[in-house]
Amino acid sequence: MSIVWRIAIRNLQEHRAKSLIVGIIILIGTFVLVVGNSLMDSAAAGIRRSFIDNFTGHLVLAGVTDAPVSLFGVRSTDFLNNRTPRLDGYDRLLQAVEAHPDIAAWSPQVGDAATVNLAGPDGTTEGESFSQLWGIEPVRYLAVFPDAAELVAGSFLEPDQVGLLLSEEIAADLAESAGREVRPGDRVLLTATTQAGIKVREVPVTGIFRFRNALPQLDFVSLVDITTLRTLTGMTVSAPAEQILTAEQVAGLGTVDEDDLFGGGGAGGGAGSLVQEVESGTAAPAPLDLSGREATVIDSGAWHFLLLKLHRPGAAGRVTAELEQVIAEADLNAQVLGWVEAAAPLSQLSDGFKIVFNVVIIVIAVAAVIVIMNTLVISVTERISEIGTMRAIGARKGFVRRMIGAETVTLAFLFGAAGVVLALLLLAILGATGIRAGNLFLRILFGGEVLRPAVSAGSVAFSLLMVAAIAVLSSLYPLAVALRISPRQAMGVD
Amino acid sequence: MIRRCATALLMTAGLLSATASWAADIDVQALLAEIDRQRTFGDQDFTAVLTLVSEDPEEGVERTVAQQFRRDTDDAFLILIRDPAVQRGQGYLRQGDNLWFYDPDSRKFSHTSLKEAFQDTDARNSDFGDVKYAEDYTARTIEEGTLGKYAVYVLDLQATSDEVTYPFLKAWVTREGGLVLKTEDYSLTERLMRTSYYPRYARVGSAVVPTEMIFVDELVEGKKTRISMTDLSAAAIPDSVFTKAYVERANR
Repeated sequence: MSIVWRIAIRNLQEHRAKSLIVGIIILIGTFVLVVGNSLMDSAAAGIRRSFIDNFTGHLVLAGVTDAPVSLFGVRSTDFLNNRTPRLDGYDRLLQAVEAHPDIAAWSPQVGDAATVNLAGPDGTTEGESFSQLWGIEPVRYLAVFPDAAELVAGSFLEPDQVGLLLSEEIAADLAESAGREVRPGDRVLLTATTQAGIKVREVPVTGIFRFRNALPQLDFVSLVDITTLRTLTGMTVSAPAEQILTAEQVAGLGTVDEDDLFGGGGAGGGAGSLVQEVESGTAAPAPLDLSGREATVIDSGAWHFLLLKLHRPGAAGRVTAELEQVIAEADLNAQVLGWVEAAAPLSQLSDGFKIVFNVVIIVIAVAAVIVIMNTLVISVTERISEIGTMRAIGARKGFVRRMIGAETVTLAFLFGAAGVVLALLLLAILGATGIRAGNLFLRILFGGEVLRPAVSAGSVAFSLLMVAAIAVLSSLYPLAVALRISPRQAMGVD
Repeated sequence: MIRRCATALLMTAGLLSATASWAADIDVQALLAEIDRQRTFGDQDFTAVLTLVSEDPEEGVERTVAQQFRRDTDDAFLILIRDPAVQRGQGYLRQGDNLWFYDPDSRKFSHTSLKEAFQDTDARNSDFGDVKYAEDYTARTIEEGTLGKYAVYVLDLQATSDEVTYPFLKAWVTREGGLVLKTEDYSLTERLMRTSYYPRYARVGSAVVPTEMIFVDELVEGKKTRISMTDLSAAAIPDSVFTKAYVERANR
């Protein structure tokens, strides 16, 4: 062991109290960093797994509109009118998807939301709830998400079967408002608003299910046969009706001008000029002629999304680029979404929490630097005569620099390692027992009911690096103080 | 009944002789009651053809024609869509507190609400029934002002229950005649959701009803719906019209 290290270790032992203060700060810092980063990484991995395995797959092909599109609809202030766009060029995209060697399975999907009522006898309804609906092809869906749905009662949708696989949460809500249990075989009314007015469909409940490792937002998702949802969403092949307007109606289009409506130029109008006298008839109204109604023809090729499962998640970038090339070549109004965009905005929460965590860590790090620096400065000040004597008998500045550096590195290494060991111990215990999400917030953060934190080598390395950086940064000023000490100054102190 | 008529007469007389100084002491609840009385048909029924022209920056212009039947004594109305052909036969049947939507494709009735949008337009289902301002709202402030060439009271109203479509309203009411010309419709957080204009009225039987209504969506620029009423009648309507059976029969 060189003389520098021997002196450094002796100094640390002689100034035990101060060494301990600095050491404990480093220990706590390392412990918090390793535990915090591991928890964050585990939560992010949990969210990623929950989303990809439960409902997004690795990539999603979707239509394009002005606002961001996700599987839950269009994110816009005018979400009622800004409907999920159809996936343009579905057949061409499917051709590319089927031919791609990296794509293991695919499932097309339509999304909308509907009011759910239990259908009672004689056209009456009981209870009311509201559900996000995903229209699926059962075989394709199970190929991409084989373990996502856990049946509570009844059975999964069969191919071409008309029916609803009702979410357990919605079934409970419906049962509470109806005052009776909802069972497979019960019939429900689904009501949704389309551009062609409201659509109502009555379908049987084939089963009641929940998503495994469910995120809260999936509690409100029910699965329905695609034909029913296409009807409810208004995916028809009818051409838009020609709008024949009178000259007066055409004149009324555009911006409303209050002066045009009520006349300008100040008060003076009598309300009488607003009221027209109408000769009221006495005959009963003539029977209505509602003949000639156009039948709704469902567009059986219309989809909103194409969900893709890859053989290797690492191929996502390449598959995205190749599909984007297909989209560009065919000039399609389509886009490729990663799982984060497809499940937005909740999928972005973990990133948000990680940013907040790192900001907190930076604040703590700054405080730690100040405390450690102060302690080291005091330690150096107490040793002015010692350092001065060293300088007087020939120690150069480089020697003093190495000595202070060695003290800091020793402290950082010893206590940093202790912090890592303690953090690993805690993480091992938490990994074995699991942390149960007690509330909705934690369920979102954990990506499911239970978080089992795992240690990531990355988070340990990052934490040690950060602690080392804090230690080096903290020693800079004390070092400058030590280097300023001259032998004469040192002699004058005593 | 006598007391109600007397109140109405007094109110009308009061409104006709309205002056600025009188306005300061105006009984706002009585003014609201007078608006309600004018807009309500009482023992008479009401029939009209509604033409809705909706403008949407995304969807373009859409025209819908519907037949309305209304009976205020029973809080009942029926609106059946006549055009466009793809929506023909869709209906809204109100029976007291219940409002049903009928889908002729599936031949099913579904419960809906007066607060919901009518056929994806800027009109709400509640815009087609009678009004009950006096019952549903209290005034927070009242000011005198003008709207175009009309002298008006500007009423700032707050809902008395959560049953109404808009919890807060600002209404421009003519000082003479008590006609609502304009309202600003606010959400619970007092965000302006919609501005409504009533530039034309007609006296049909015992009531004065707006025959033109313009609803401007304040959340989406350029989105609005203009409704015109034609073929107005206060003739009696058979009881059977306000039933589900009639709606189903009309669609056969």
